[in-house]
Amino acid sequence: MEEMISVGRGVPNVEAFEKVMGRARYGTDIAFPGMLHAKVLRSPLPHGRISNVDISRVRSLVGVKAVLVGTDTPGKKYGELNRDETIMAIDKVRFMGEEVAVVVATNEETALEALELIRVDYQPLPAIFDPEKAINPDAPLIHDEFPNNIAYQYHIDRGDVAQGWKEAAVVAEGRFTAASSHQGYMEPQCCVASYEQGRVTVWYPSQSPFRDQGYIADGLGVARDRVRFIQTFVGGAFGGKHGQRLPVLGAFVATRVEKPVRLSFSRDEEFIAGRPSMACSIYMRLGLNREGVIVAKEAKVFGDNGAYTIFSPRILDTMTRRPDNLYRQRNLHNEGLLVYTNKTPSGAYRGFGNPQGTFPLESLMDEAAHKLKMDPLTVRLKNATRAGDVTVHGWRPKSAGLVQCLELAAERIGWGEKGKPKARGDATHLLSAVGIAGFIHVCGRRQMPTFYGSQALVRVNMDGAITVITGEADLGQGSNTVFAQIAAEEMGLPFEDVMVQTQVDTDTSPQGLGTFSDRLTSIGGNAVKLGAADAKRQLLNFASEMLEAAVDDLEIKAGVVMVKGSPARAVPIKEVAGYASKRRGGALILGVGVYDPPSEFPDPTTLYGNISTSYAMGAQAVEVEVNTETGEIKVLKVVAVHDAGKVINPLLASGQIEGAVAQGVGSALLEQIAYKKGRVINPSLLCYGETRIGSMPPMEVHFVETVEPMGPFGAKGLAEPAIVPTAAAVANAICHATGVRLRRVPLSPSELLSGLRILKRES
Amino acid sequence: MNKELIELKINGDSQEIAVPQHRTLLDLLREELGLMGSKDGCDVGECGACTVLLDGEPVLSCLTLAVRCRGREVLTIEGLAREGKPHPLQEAFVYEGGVQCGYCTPGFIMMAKSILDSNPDPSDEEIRAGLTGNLCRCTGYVKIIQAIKVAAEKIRLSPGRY
Repeated sequence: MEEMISVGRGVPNVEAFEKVMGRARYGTDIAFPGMLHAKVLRSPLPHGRISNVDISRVRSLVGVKAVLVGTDTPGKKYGELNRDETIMAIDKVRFMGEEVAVVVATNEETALEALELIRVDYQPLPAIFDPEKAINPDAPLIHDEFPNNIAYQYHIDRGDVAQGWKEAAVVAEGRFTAASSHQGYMEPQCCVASYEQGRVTVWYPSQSPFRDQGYIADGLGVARDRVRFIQTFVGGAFGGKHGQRLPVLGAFVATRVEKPVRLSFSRDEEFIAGRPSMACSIYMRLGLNREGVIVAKEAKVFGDNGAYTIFSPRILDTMTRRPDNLYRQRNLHNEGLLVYTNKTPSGAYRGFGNPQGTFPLESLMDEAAHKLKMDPLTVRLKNATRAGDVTVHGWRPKSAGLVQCLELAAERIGWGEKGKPKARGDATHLLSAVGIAGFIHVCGRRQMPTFYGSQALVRVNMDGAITVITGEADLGQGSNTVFAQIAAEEMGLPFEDVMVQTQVDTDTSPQGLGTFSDRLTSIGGNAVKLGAADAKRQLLNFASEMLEAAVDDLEIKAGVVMVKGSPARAVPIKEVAGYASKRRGGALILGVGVYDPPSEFPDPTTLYGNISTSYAMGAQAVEVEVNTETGEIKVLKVVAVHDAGKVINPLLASGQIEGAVAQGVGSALLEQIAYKKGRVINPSLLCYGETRIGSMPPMEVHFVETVEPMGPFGAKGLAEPAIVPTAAAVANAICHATGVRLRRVPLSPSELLSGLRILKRES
Repeated sequence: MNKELIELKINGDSQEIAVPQHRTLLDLLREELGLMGSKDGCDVGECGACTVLLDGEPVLSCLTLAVRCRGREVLTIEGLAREGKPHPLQEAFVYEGGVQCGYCTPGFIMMAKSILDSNPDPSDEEIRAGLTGNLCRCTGYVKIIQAIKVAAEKIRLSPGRY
């Protein structure tokens, strides 16, 4: 491949300057003169029938402009998959914190005061919080339309599992659980909406503006074009800023008042009524033969859907099937049950179920290796998926650096010399050891048989600079910077001559599905590359007239079109752009790129197919120290090694890994939304325990750069899955140090202590 | 609602403003003065996104009453640039990759300025200790520490300028 100029450079984020100057406008910063403020009254019960709502006392409060309850809403159930939610509760509340009424006032204080004056009579209903119990026939039913509280279920068999168990020399098994965690973005959600001439305009920090536009239209029961969605700067999202109820409610409220209205979440509302990650319990068995080859696997997964459904059926699919593709295996049986409970609806969080699903598999890999008296690294290397494989679920990775990632992570953590657990000097209660885990992830999982792609416009301006316009959402991960690098590389322009439209407006931006499923670099990036190629082709056609040379004989270097081999015959792009514009009545050159990835929508019965065009993978190795007297678990070091294909921007790429590892360490050790009888008991950043600077372990980030033929300039996805293997690696290190296997995330010091006591008794 | 007339300096400019007694400095900055750079991440002093300097000392503006700032000097992220040129901390956060979503960034930069004002050559540990009240969800803090070290060096090379 020819040497690349813009791709591979660690240029700073194109949006960073506005942010450091304090000029970037986020959702919380949108304000209009005369703007009204809305606040929500939430259910105090996890399950109950609404028998009466009395709003009479509110109307007399000065400054109140509207009070709306569930029966004021269109009432039609909406949702992408199960269609089980309404904009506000109508007859029943199904989780503590559900929206029951909303007050609009001239300021937030008045709106909050008004909430106190609403009187709601409830008839309490028995509630259910444990998905494993909620499927019992005598459990309270949450939605009449979903018997046994089952929101979604599936099972698949591959190969011959019974035969697999016969071949197994060892079997490792257990029940594993993961708590629900919050995406923890620093900007609480905020929506501003206005309604004029039958059309609602919504400003919201969305990671998927076009999909949120669709959800709002669906919720309001109007055509999509009645909703204009304008993305603001996004103060972090990590899966949590699409498919939320807040912008749907905000848009609805705007249709009932005459001025723009702001509806924001306070931080505690984020924890109570956001869409946190899906808690689960997973029963898994894994069989390996005497050589350490996986011969059978069975799993039964209970996903805790919460009270309503947005993406969770797909999250359950990911949780149960995605980790299977990490290793070569033929025989497996998977069962998944997604179950309604009277808790906050679950949603997408970085990894989309892959962290929860990888934790048991990678724990059992270590346990099985231990039973075989084999090195867990060796067992992983033996089974690792390689380029050219067809995995058990039909994935066909063309590039795969998993083996190299595992090897490098092990080498950098000191697998050989630190392989044996050891005490720190004389402090025999401090034991340290290393652990490792791998992961595999998609780069845009195909979720629909129709268009799953991305569209990009590349405009050549009069001054020869170009503007890239997409419908994809940069949340801070740097996709707009990566798009600029791809466009510059494709067109032969200096990076500095490329601008990117930073926010999506559904009225003017080309269609894009947004940021999820690790899809932007591969799918959005390919669309930008095609758009740039189209713009370049048009430019060269005009340059060929100017230079009197055939198009095939021309090349663009550093912003100048020249005849190959005769650099003296050259013309700057600026002049070509001006010439082209004059020739066409002032019109600018507009390149259009449309990329629909050649991935497969899996057959609905077999669930088999190559769901993504490429696959990101990697490994993380950790060194952990445990205190056997207190149970304290301390991560001493993390080595993260990732195969993201060709790394387009090393500065931003390592930043993505570092941030994901911080979240991974947080999930592994501390973070969970804790419920007591349906009430979130830790709804604050402090009590929830987001990772602070002092808790961050030292970290090394490395890349194994494969060349992915399906990716733009060989690139793959990167940012989402770096959170996936951390908890498993930490649990493996703890087990290595102490012999205690922890099976619940977050890993708990008290469980470690009781495990140590049991071991002591047994010995 | 009792209002008080207060005089204070914000980013170098003297202002006379009537504020309700219970109004926080953060609300005064954002809602009355349109200075949206200071961010509201939790409103209860747990995230540090609203950090500004009050007479050179870092404060959580979401927990500081505006009336307490009478006669004092407030510096926000909008007042950090000099003659249109970004402060070395602002530059370093850009070039070292210390910014992702950017929502916590103004608070981090203001807190970092206060660290460097009192300790021009801090160790990693001193930087970590100073930033313990500031939360960032995107970066894992690695590049934030790096940015502060790079900025510190630049500031040391031009004594008295920043």
